[in-house]
Amino acid sequence: MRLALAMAGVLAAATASGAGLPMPSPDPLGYPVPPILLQALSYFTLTLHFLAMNLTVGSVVIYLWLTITRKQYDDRLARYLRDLLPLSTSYLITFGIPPLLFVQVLYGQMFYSSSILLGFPWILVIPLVVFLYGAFYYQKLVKNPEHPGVLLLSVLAAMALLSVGFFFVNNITLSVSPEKWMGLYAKSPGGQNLNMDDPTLFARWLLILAPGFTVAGVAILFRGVMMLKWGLTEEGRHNHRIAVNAAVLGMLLEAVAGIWILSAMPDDLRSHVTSAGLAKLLLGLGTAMASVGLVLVFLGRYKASWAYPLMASLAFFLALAPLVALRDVVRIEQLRPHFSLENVPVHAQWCMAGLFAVFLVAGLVFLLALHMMVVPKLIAGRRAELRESA
Amino acid sequence: MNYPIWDVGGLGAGLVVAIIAIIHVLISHVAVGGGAFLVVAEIWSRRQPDGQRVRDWLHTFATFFLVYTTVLGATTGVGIWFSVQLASAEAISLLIHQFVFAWAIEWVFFLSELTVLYLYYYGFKRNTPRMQTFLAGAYFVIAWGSLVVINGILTFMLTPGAWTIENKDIAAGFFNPGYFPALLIRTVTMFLLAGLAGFLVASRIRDEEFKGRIIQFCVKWVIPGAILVPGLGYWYFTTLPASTVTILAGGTVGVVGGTLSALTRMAILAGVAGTSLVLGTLVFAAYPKTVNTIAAISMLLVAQLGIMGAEFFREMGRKPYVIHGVLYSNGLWVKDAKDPARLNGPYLEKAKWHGGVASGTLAHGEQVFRLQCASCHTRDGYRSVVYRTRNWTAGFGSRWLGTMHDMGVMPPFQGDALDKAALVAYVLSLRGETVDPRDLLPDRQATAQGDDLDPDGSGQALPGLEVAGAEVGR
Ligand code: HEC
Repeated sequence: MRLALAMAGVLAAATASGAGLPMPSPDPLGYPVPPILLQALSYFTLTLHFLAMNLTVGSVVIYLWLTITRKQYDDRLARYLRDLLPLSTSYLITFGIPPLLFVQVLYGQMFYSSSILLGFPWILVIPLVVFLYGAFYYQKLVKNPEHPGVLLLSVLAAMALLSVGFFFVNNITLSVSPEKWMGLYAKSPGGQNLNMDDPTLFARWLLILAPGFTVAGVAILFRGVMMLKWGLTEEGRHNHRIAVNAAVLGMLLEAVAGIWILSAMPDDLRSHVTSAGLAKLLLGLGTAMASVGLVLVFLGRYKASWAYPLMASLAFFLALAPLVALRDVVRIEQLRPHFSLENVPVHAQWCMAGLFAVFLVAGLVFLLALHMMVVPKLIAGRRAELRESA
Repeated sequence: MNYPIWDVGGLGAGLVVAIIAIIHVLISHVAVGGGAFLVVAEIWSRRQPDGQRVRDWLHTFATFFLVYTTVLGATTGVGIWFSVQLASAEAISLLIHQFVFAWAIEWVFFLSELTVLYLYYYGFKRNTPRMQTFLAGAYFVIAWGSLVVINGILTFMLTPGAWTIENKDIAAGFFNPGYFPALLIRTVTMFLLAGLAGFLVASRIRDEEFKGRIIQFCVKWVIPGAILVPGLGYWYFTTLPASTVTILAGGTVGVVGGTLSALTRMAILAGVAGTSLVLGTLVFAAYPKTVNTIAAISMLLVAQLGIMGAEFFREMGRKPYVIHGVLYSNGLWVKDAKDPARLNGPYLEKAKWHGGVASGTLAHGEQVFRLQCASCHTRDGYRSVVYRTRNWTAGFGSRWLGTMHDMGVMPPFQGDALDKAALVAYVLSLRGETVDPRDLLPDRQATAQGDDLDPDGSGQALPGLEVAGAEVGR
């Protein structure tokens, strides 16, 4: 099968330029630590990035939906989601940085090439993010967020968010398809390209976005617990109903996306994902943990206990992380004819890596300590506010 | 030549980077300086008789600060990174592979900075005064820490110091000769900018007496910086490599033409910006009533102009390199350029992204232009090559390319006579002249010497070719 892929690569190269693929050579500096460490760091941070992204996507859609349907208690839940959006966007951006750093260390020559070929949509990501981030703050701070103009702004921000995801998916899929590069470059050297003819493009986009409902569902589950604990039973139950519906919807869509992407993949890649030991293990683990998460959401319904939303969060993290790793396994498989991690030399920078570890641990401990001092007060204050307005 | 060139029409990829960078530099410095401002304002506000009102004002400032620094600061920072990937993939790849853990540490600072700012902002009304002051202080220290880290990478590009491609000494590259002067300039500038941002928020206060007090408070932030920065700038200048100094001082090459060297321009700009800021601030101090939104924004714009000048200066000073002495702007490694066989052999064979064009055609010339020139020149927009070659004849062009490196701002030409001929024919075709590249080869040129623009054969253009005000626009 590898041979088949290699042959396909060579054939494509021959037809594309007549002179071999324009594959840049890896950076002469090599890897700063063995690639497995970089991969691990990137899986961890990318999982957090996806979770923050999912929280943002899910929250904005549910927020808009609640604001338009306006049933009882919807407005207060909507406000919670609306206030969440600038925060989740901040972390979505911040957790996006390390995976973007590590992908450039690991797969820079593919990633830069595809970014340049998609230069226009790629740079468009920046103004789009500025816009949606600004819009999320605006609708949080503005006096009358339910004004149709503000709602329209939120709809546009949501669309901007989805487009950013779409452009990322375009770039990542193009970075593993070197055989298309020369064609796109000839078509538009200014980078006004998209990787539209990739058969998995839309499935992949859905696969990335769909868990948004589930993650936002867990966030709503948390709020419900808080309401129940504060004696706002009706509102808590209302929140939990929405939480369960959202979580189920997200998982259903995710299952559809999963089946879709498997059927859209080239045959040899699919057989790799469904039969090779590591890939099968990751896929199985992801699916199993996602089911556990969903069951936990169900069990936590109408219960005034933090344990369920906390455990469900952990379960969904553990569901997403193997899928993020699987994503990389698929990439390595797709790149095999052109590139393999083992062929890049390692020029170890252990000292710098150690320094980073020290900073990371110190930073996390510091932030955790601050949270423990500040957040309980904030929650108590919020409770008093809600009491007054109830 | 490893990567394709992002060929953006009239702007050029470099200018896209510059536009994003200029916005980011202003905001990121406000973001750090504003942290110090918050600490002092926290303490100061609680000592005022009308504490609550001052705190309300501070809350407005904090809101403005939060939104502004996160929405515009963080995103344009990522934006620089995105645009540099497009404009100089080879360079960002080197920087990332060399300094990946410095960047990762920088990210720990980002994460902490953001989180602490949120705890400060959301806790504004509920945290104890001590906690608020502590959070503001922590924010400032962390934000400044992020400057300490990124400054190493930024200054590395212009003054890599003892770091070389053979001896990749990370510490030497990071704490390079430009490191400390640049850090000091940036630190002083950020205090100055914090004061200017304070003016903007103060301009919205209605109560005259109260507004006056806030303005006086902000004035103290601006004046020292406005006076110190030009002097520190001079110190920084003394750390620059000699070749850079030659370029900036105009030297023998007359880079920017006209009567002013880049250095003189920069000095004038710094002087004018500094003086206007001092004068403006003094006026504000004496007549707080004059501080309205427009006036405050104008002051920020003056500062922005000064920063823009400084950044262009830095960019110009780095030409023809992205990483001084290591990598040229168009992706040519200096070590490869030192190998004559490599430099003068046929180009297309080595270039990766030519798409298999037939050699000796205009398409060949376009590829050479794109891969070798387009990182700095556009065809007829920013730093237009059409304009710069408007007096070229076919014969002159090929010879000029052989010596372009001597101008000090451009990398050497890569390729053989046919590559040169193809490029010249392409450049001429941009202004509507049709020439067959093969007719430009040296052996066919003997007959065409008559119209040469370079009578003394020095490879230097006639004086008329030097371009006045080149940097500014065309
Ligand atoms: C590292 C960036 C860079 C690259 C790459 C570059 N140039 Fe330049 N070029 C400059 C700068 C800077 C100047 C001087 C300032 C100006 O004219 O704007 C300049 C000036 C020129 C001039 C005017 C010369 C004069 O005597 O005034 C010409 C013609 C020119 N370049 C052609 C080219 C061609 C052709 C290529 C590609 C083979 C090229 N350049 C590559 C940066 C570059």
